[in-house]
Amino acid sequence: MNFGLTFEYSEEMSGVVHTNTAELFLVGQDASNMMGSPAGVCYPTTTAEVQEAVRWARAKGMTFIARGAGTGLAGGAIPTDGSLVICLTKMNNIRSIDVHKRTAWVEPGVLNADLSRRTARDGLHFAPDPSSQQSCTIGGNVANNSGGPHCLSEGVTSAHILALEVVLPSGDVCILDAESSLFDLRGAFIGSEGMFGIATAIEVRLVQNPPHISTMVVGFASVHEGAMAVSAIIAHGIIPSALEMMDAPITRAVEEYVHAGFPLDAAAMLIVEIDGLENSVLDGSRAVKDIVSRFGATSFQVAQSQGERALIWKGRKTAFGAIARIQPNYYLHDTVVPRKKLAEVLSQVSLIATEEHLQVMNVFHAGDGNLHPILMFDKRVDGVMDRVHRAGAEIVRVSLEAGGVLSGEHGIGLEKRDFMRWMFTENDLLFQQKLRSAFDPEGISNPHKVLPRGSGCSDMSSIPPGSWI
Amino acid sequence: MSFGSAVDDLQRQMAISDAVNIVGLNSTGASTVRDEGSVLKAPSGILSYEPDELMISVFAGTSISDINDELQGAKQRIPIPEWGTIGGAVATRRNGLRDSYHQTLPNNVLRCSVIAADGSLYQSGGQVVKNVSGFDLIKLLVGSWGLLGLIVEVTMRTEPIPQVSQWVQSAAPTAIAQVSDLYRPSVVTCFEGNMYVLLEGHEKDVQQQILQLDGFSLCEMPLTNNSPQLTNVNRSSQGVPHSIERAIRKEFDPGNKLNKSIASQRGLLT
Repeated sequence: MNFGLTFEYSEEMSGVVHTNTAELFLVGQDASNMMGSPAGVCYPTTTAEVQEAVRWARAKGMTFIARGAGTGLAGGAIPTDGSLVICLTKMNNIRSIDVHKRTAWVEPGVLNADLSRRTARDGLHFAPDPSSQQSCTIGGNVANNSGGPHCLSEGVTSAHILALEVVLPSGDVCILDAESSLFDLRGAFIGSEGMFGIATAIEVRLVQNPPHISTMVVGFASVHEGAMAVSAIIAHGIIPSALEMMDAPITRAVEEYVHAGFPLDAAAMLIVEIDGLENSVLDGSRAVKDIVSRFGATSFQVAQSQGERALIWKGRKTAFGAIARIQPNYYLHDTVVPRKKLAEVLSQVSLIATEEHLQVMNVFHAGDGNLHPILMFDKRVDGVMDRVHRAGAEIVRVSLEAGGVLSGEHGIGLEKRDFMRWMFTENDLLFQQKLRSAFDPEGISNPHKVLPRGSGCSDMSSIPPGSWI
Repeated sequence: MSFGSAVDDLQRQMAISDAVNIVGLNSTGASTVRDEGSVLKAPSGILSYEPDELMISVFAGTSISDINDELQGAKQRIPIPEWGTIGGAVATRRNGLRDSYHQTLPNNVLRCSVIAADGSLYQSGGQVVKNVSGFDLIKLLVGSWGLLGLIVEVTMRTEPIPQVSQWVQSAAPTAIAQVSDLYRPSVVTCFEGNMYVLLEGHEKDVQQQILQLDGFSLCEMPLTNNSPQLTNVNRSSQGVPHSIERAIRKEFDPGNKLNKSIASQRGLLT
């Protein structure tokens, strides 16, 4: 395949841009089931080097794409069009921590969990906690406006980012913060999936660790009752710090793998965590116990120690590792529905999977109405990918029909780009494109993502070659 | 999506006007600066309220006190100071005194529907509490001072009213250190040499926090003028970010139709 590597290296980039097949294979994929076609990859270590890489790509008439740890699930980091991959994993310094102001400046390649580990001794942490937090980067969190279980009470990434140093597609560098402009360009940049430029330094907010935490694991005889309990807890005026649901198949898979003590006889289980000051935690936990018993809870356990709590969360967050013991491949979906529609949509998801002869498991942020159905399969089986994609599209359709949206935290990327019209009008998309054009008039930063083709947008004229398996 | 004849009429007026001044209840004083041209105001009224979903959709011209009156029945609120309209609060990013540990205004706006300068309607966000579908026009609209369109509808996250809300104040030099030891107070602000703190939550927790503080006394909410004033906003009108803002303005309002005085004051006439 011709990756467009007929260009000549300029002196300064010679040896900096790697083009060997093995490296290109690695940076051609993320955690989705897609494969891209990069032209080269470089590993800058400073903001100036990122600028140089962007300017070099421009000079060569190439597009470019920023990359973190490649844990994204929507294909946002899949390089299209023979892009230059600007891999930021070597920009992994925590530049400064201000314990009194409770802020830190970090580089984009810093791993999410590493920051909280560093600030633990000061009783602080970085609140967004995606399940991939041991391996995903904060730069990636900014690009996707990532969530996580504890974003129910803490808010998603954008609520925790104060300022960004950004290399724009023009090659210029600037700070986006509350003072730099009238419009909130910082807010607009977060979640732009690498299409507005590259964040090279990030000022994050750190939050105080809660003094009291109660973590409850509740079993239910049916998914329906579990889902109704979720709505009832929120309706009661309790905002838990996390409210997660796991169905029986995923609970069994995780229990065999992690031995967290989850209820194996339950059709569904909830993890309910309440944190804060002593009395609000006590009262809140008591109220949760009352509510779940009204919905026929079959078991109710409370973590008695930090160790037990850690094991529960290990069980929740390693769910995807556990799946590998069942099927070699999985497709993790991400839609949001109103909480009151959870039970109804979950039963529709189950029907969809049955119709396409696929196994499905559910482990998700129930408190936010954020569904994560996991379709499991073996991609070596003939025609299975068609069934997986059909089921995926149906899940999106039933979620939207229930008043929901395309994505709660994984983003649009390539995966859901062509579903955008199911949710937005042409005019809605036009105004999203206008924002993109203001940051990147030539459409060279991570082209062909998010906005569907054919809506008169600059980087949508051609189909990304080889971007789909 | 249609919001009925009131919005249809506004769309028509927007489309045929060469210059438009967007107004609310004029609580910031911004809309007293009138240019020639039409004066457009978003309709008012509650479109839907679902207490169990902690969410309310309203026309942007609805006053915040009317919204809170509606929410009161379900013991909920929106944590924004009670003056002016919700559209005005969104357009001027009026967070009030609530500090950044709590989800401030931009994080509580879930959906906006906007009449663009050409009279067309565009929407961003959705009626769910978590959403990363497409680029975030909401963050751009919050604090856009009417320069990107007339916001006609807003969907907001609501929150349960805490059991107790108590302000305390102190002028003691040790106040800052003490407050920094508190667990996530709702508001911390300094005003005329006094430190003011809002403690909210369970009655016993708030009592314990008050006992923990030395040299603080109970008080009412401080009467600060925290209304956002465009002239007071200390933001740069130059540099690379400003050129992005100008590019956004050019994309969204190519004819320089919207709130000309404000645009001119901020160097955003293109």
